[in-house]
Amino acid sequence: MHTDCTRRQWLAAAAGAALVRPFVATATANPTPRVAIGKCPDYGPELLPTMQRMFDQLGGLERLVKGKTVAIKVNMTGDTNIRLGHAPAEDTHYTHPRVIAATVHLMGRAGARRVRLLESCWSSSEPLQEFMLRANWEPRDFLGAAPLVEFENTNVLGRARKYARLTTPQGGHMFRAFDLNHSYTDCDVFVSLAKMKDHATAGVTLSMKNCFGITPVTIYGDGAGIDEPSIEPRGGRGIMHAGNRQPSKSAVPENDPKTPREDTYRIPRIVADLVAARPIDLAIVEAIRSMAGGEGPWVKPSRAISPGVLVAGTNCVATDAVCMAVMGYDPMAVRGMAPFEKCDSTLQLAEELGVGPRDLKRIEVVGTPIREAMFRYRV
Amino acid sequence: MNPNWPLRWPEEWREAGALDLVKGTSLGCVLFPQADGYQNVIERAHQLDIATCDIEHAPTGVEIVKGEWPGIRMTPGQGDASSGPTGAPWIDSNGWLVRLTRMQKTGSAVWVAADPPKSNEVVPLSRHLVAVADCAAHGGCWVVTLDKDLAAGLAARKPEAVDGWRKLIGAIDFFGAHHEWSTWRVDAALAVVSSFAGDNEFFSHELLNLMARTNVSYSIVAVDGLRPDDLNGLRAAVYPDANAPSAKVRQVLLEFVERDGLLITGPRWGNLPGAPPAAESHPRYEIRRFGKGRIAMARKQPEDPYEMAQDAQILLSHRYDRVRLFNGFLLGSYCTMAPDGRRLVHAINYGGGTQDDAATARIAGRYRSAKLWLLERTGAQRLELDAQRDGVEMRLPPLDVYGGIELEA
Repeated sequence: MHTDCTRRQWLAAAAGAALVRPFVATATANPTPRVAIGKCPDYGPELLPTMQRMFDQLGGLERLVKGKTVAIKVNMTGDTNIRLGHAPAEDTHYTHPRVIAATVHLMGRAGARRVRLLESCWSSSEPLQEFMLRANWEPRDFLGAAPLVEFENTNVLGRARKYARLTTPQGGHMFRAFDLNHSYTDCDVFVSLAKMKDHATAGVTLSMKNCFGITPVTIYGDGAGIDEPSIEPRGGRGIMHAGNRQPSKSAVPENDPKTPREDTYRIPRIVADLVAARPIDLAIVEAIRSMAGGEGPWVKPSRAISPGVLVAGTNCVATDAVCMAVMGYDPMAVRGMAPFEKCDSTLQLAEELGVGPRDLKRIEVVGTPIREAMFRYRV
Repeated sequence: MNPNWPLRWPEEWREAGALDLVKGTSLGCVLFPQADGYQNVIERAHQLDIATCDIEHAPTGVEIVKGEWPGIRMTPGQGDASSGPTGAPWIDSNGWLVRLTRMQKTGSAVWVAADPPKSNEVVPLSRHLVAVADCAAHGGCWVVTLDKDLAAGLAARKPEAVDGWRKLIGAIDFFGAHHEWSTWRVDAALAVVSSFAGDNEFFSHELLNLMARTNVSYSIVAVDGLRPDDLNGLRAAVYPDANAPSAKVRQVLLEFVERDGLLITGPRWGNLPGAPPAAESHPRYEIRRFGKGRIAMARKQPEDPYEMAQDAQILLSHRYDRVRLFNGFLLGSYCTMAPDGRRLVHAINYGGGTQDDAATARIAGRYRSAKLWLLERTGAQRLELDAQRDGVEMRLPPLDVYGGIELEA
């Protein structure tokens, strides 16, 4: 494992091979994906250089984003008015806006042509900026962080005339295709910018589980239209959890509606299918401050924590595997083992689809070693 | 607000002795059933200098309006609160009705009367207290209406009922002690300008009701006699009426837009001045720039007041939220401003004592101190302020029924 490899050192080492290894690398093209860990005590001045250093350790952002449209899916799960105690949502279950702003800024500095921030706002068709304002965030902070920044609430159709269909390689575990907001295809680079948390249904929520929120509830939600997508989103994704009905008929139905109707079976598979259908080019998982015990304040008991760590990588399965190790879990855990006591491992299921490896022996960790970054989520 | 609060005399109280409960309290008027059999009680009330009337005949200077029991609407047969279109609990409040009536009947006291609870309906004391607080916070009076159990318990002088009665009178006295609050004007971001009558009555009334649910802080302005001053300090004006405005109203509203205001209206407005902005689009509204401001005209005459309320909130932007409540799922708020600039945010727990988590309030503006008034306490308690960009946050203790957050700049 590399530890303190700078971009310059990395480039120098790679130069011997005549070609610099591409930043974007699939599991098959690059059997040893690289994941960077950075320690950062708070969201202050150290944040930007820490993230810059981590991206450099991964080979530099420029190769990935220069001249490109970058779509960044952030994590703003649940409604904005829910807090764990009095703590702002970004200190517990939302991706922190300063991490978002730093990411946008670094993307812009690396030459991204356009950065588009994406999230499916809870039960609402309102613009993402309005959702952010309700969370006490200032969207102008993001607009000013890079030359061209856009926002899109991906719970609805948005600017497109129809939803974009993304197919799952190998047919998927549960869905062979998904209909999504156009922003997930109208981009050159897709970034999952997640929070490092436990999850009541899926064990953990990291860069992959963050993508459960890319599904529009107009098609995959409780208020989805029967034949066509509904116009207005309503409620959550209960039908994805329970499987009590199929998505709108305009979308591709489940592969096999006779499979178990249990959320602990369904959600990990749906997430694995999603990240296979919409590959994550860059996974960033933030836990400078976070929460343990669940994915949001509605999961009880849960507690606020300050791990002071960031993890990033170009392979989402490998990145999530390193995150699990940082959280004090075994990324090779299967159903019945912590944190998957009641559910299947999304990492295992994504690995089965060829998305990436979860075995730390097959992952190159750079930056802070896992043992130094470790923060046990379960006491 | 009339300092003489009204009590609806329970039908089953036939004895004048029950007037002892009323004597010496802030309940200065008793509304008797329109039936025989109460003459001795009425006579005794007059001897005790307690005014009497009935629901159809309000005393001079009082407007009695029919309201509903405020609170969280429950799904019949279930313990869960029913949800509105947003998934948020559906809060019933008479606040909009009190405010509208006060605007229409300037100088009159507004009493809100709701039907007595059904005989088999369990009404916790907190529900009575919420009804009092909801009306009083908006400058009106609730016609105190006892449920069967409370009326029977009081008739029998059961300690629990008498204790509840004292709390009810205590809540009325609390608002009586802060009578000046009812004279403070709304701290609004938006005005609803309408005739509120005729063909526009249903839609405009529902718009007020539902706009309160969307947490937009609004003022109510009669279209007749609309003056530029009515829109001072506001960010937006909604003209929802289904008829074109008069030339004078049009002029006042367009001047407001030219000064950086936002006008939200329907197609009956007529021809729009200005040019469409390139960057802004809306699925239901055509948006034009005019002067320094914007005009958003619905492409079709709005038929759903809730949709219009939500659209108005987004067109205005949450940037101008006066109050944001976190973990305050059952709380409603009403923001007012004193002549000297002090702010008062009335926070009402419409769930009545069922608040699971303590709430955090974010209030727009810069303030140096805040204090909290509670029904249960005589004095105010100081609140710690967490200064933020364009606002302050404060942690609230669990509110059983009501908290008045008073802020000084």
